[in-house]
Amino acid sequence: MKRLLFALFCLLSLTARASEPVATTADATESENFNPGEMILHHIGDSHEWHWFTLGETHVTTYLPVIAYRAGSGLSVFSSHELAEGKVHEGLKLEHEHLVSTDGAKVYDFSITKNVATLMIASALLLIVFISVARGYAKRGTAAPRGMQSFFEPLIIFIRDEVAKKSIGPKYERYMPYLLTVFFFIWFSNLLGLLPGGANLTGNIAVTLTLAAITLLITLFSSNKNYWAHIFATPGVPKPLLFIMIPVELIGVVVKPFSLMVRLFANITAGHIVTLSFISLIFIFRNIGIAPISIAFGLFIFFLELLVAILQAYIFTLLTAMYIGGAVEDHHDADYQIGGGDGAAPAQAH
Amino acid sequence: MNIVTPEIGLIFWQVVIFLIVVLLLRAYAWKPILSSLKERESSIEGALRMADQAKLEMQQLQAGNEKLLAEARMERDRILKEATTMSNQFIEQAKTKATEEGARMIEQAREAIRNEKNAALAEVKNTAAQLSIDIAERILRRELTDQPAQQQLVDSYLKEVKLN
Amino acid sequence: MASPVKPPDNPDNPDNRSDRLRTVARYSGIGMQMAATIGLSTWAGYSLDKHYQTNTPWFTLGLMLLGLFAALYNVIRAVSKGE
Repeated sequence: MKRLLFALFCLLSLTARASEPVATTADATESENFNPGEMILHHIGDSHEWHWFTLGETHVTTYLPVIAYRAGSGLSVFSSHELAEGKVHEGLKLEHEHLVSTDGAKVYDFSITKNVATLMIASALLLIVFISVARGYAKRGTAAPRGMQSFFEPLIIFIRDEVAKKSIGPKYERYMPYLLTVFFFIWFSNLLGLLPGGANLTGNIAVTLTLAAITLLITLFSSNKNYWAHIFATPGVPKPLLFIMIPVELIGVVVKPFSLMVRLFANITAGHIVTLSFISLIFIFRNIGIAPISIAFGLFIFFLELLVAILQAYIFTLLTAMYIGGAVEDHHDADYQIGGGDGAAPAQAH
Repeated sequence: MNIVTPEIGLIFWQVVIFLIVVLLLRAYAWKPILSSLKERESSIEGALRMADQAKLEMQQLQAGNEKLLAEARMERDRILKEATTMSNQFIEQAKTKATEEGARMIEQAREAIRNEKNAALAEVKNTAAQLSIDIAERILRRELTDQPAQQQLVDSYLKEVKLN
Repeated sequence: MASPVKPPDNPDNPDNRSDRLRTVARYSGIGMQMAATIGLSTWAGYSLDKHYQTNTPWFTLGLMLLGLFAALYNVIRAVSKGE
């Protein structure tokens, strides 16, 4: 949608001025040559200011705070407006949206970037929505849900019954807060990314990496004896083969969250790239006639993305629940395969 | 910015904000929501169970009523049957009694008639004998005067007696 | 787990639909894992080779094969375990 609106503004300027519009601040310097690759990369990447849209030569931009830490000069906090258009401020400048120090020192960039701002908006939205839903329960007690409450209740029940209970089993209740938060966080962020001017938060590798790492940590901390026994003494595998099985199992432990990270990142980013590409067609062909087709396809992809938004949230949550389930389940193999040496005294076993 | 290189700043903010959100939502949203849902489900389940129980009780009650009704009906039938039998018996008895009485009375009448007849016959015999004696007396008185006539008379009598 | 009011064996039953969705998600997860296993181990081998500046990329080769084996092993185990 942000691409659609963006395209619409570009179209407006096209008809009014019959000239190539500038797509982004980055493109402003090379307005003669439209570079779709750069435009798309800019839109799916992070930035230190929030560029809403371009109307002709006017850029509507919100400048976000820059917070940088350098070993030598300590913490610097200022508006990203000071860095706009390649300016240098407090020895810092932006190189392709990357904060660097002019003296070559290492910069730890903790700026409230567009993605961090979106992250805050999504979090605030989550808190407002679900605390008010919870208030609805407190007010109405066991009566039928109403309004927002009745919209989210089926989803909450779905996550509880179809995702948590089925994947984790009787110990599911401990993991409900994380599963529900991760599901709604991903869904809300995906939807925010589809809004015009929205940031590609869940299509950012840092965000999906963090979520996947939290899943991995929860899996490891809730794992029981059987889980580790399965990794270091895979049942049914002869001892000499264990030296190869242990790395294989350890790879499996890391790959599970890794695939979660890549899937969410790739799906959301790909969706954004596809939508942007259709919009870019207008500028590539420099033809207004292509606009209806390109907007139609863009719209189609947009509605597909609405579906993908909730589907990816569901898949992330489901697979997280399955990994946790695998770590907490009391494996049946343990009863008769692990510790086969006890086989001599089966009568005492039970 | 390379899109596949995670930025330390975003990771930092994501960890901090996400964990705060999880903790806040857990305390102020998920716990109350999930416990309310559980409470509601258990109350609905309880209500359903109670309804089922009430239905069962109703059925039992109905079955009991029907049983009572059937019993009452059976009792009524039994009483009716008994009454019919009794009345039939009465009628039968009365009939028998009446017949017997009639027969007895007829028998009595017959007896009386027989007695009367016998008495009448006896009287007739007596009278006849008296008459015979009287006649015989008179004849004897007259015949004592006339011998042949006497003989004649005796003969005629004897003839008559033989005829008897 | 299902509430007693839910009718059993109904094709429109949310249970069946969600089970189908669940299966799809599970298998897509298995495929993703397979790709990620090979990719991740090859990348690890490649960076090890780069770090030690080996002439022959033994790390790349070895870890790639290990990753391939691990991917196949995990897929077979995940599929044979079933639902």
